[in-house]
Amino acid sequence: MSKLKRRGYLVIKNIFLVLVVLTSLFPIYWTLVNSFRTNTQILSVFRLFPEQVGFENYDKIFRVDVLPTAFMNSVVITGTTMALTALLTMMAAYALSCYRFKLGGWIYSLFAAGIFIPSATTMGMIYKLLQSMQLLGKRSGIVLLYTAGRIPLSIFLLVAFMKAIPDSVKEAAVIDGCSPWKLFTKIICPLSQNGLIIVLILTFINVWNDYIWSMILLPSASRRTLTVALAFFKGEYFTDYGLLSACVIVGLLPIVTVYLIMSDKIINGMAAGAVKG
Amino acid sequence: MGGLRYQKKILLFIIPALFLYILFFIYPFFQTVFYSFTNWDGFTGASLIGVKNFGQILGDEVYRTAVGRIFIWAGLSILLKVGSALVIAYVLRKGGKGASFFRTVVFLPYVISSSAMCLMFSVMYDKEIGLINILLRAIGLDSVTRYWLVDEKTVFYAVILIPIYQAIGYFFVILFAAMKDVPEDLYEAGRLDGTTPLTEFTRITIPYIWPTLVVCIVLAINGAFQNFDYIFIMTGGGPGHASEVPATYMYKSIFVNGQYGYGSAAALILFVITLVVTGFARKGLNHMYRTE
Repeated sequence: MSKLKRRGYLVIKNIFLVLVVLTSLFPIYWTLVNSFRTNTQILSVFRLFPEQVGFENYDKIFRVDVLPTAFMNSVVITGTTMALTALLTMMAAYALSCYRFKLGGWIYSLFAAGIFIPSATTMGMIYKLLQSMQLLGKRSGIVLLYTAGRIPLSIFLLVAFMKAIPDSVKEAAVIDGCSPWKLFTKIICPLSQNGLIIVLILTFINVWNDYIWSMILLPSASRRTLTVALAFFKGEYFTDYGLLSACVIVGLLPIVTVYLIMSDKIINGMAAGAVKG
Repeated sequence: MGGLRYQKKILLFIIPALFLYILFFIYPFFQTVFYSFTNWDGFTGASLIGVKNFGQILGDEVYRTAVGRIFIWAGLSILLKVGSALVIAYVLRKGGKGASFFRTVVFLPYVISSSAMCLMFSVMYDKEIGLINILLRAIGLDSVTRYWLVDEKTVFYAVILIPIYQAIGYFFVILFAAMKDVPEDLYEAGRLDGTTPLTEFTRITIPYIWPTLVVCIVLAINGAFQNFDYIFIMTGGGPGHASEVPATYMYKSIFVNGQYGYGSAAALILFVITLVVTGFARKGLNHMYRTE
């Protein structure tokens, strides 16, 4: 009896888990299926498998070069933000975590306070600020803004990592005549690699997927990022479901590819960012 | 904080980040506070009008309903996002062969952008070809089918289902990791005392992972209060004001109507609500299990 009950429990458990997997994948799978079908086919019958694996919808997208441009904009903006965030926050976290000075404690608290200021609160003023700096509609403006947005959490995470490096290691380097810059590049940077990877992953996902800021700050079509371009398709091709589905798949491809290559690092990094933040 | 002796050069490492941070965080924040007491339209000079904006916003039925909506959103987020993540994590807690594959799959929706997700769901919600209506028709509920995104009664729930659905995997990962840390002896000791699977869950697992669960709940509330991508993309707050939230209200005041003062006040109210509610939630919930 007990054995039977156990087996029954196992069956239910597995059915439940399979359902969770199906639910997680279904929207993407179904969009992929529809992207191979013509609009007439989609409108006439619901199918779990496409009638044919046709690429006409994809062909149509790439003939208009909106998506390739948007893709390049996303790459440039996200890449620059990642580099700048890494440089600035590593440097600041190093100074704050390795040296003993009262001002440092104050500055750290000031940075940490930023975690509680959501971007929606200051949206209007940031728009005006970039306008007055002549950076509205420019990629450099949004890169600076994104970098600033990543500063509080990144410094918070990096300081935690750098503090874990034993003081004796740092002191030994200083006694050996290491300058602050050398200590930073030769000792601290290599030893806090894992923290840096988390910061880079969080920055990548957040900036790549951001919609609101790039919609507000980059109004011209030639500067649009992938997320914004996709949202525009919703209005433009609303009646052509096949084309719409193909657009989504093209939009998903970069992030899903990166995710599949390094899913463990991404999952652990994002979970750590949440719990420590 | 550290142990090395301070020298002035060190400040050079901090200044670039600090400059950018003050420019884009601190300065605009104080500006928001200041302009919320003015009638600034974004171009001409602003004059101080006291707390008039705040009175007007709090007296606006549309804003009050919008605030009510984010509380519903937060409640549903906790229940559905954190709740289902908790159940899935508990069912899977012993791990097993497929656990890593499972984790990768369940987390996948979370890395997808809001706009791609919205596009996929707008097809799923379609009256004719959408999966949701097809499923309803399949089980004989033809009368329930509708234009989910046009119907004023359903639009808000249809939209927030998207971020809720997306984040389940995220909370699953966090809670799953926490559950792995629960020592096996606790369960064994419990079994000797005659726990059932249910009491095992409520008396051992939940109290043990409580701090992590509190983090999840606070994150869920914060997400519901601040996030408005999905509503913005799907409906823009409409039809009418049927899916308006404080953030879209603020956005429209500033970027559509050009009322910078008024919009700043709306943004500030949302900021304070978020801070107070998440603060109380964190404090209150942390006190619930303080036995350790």
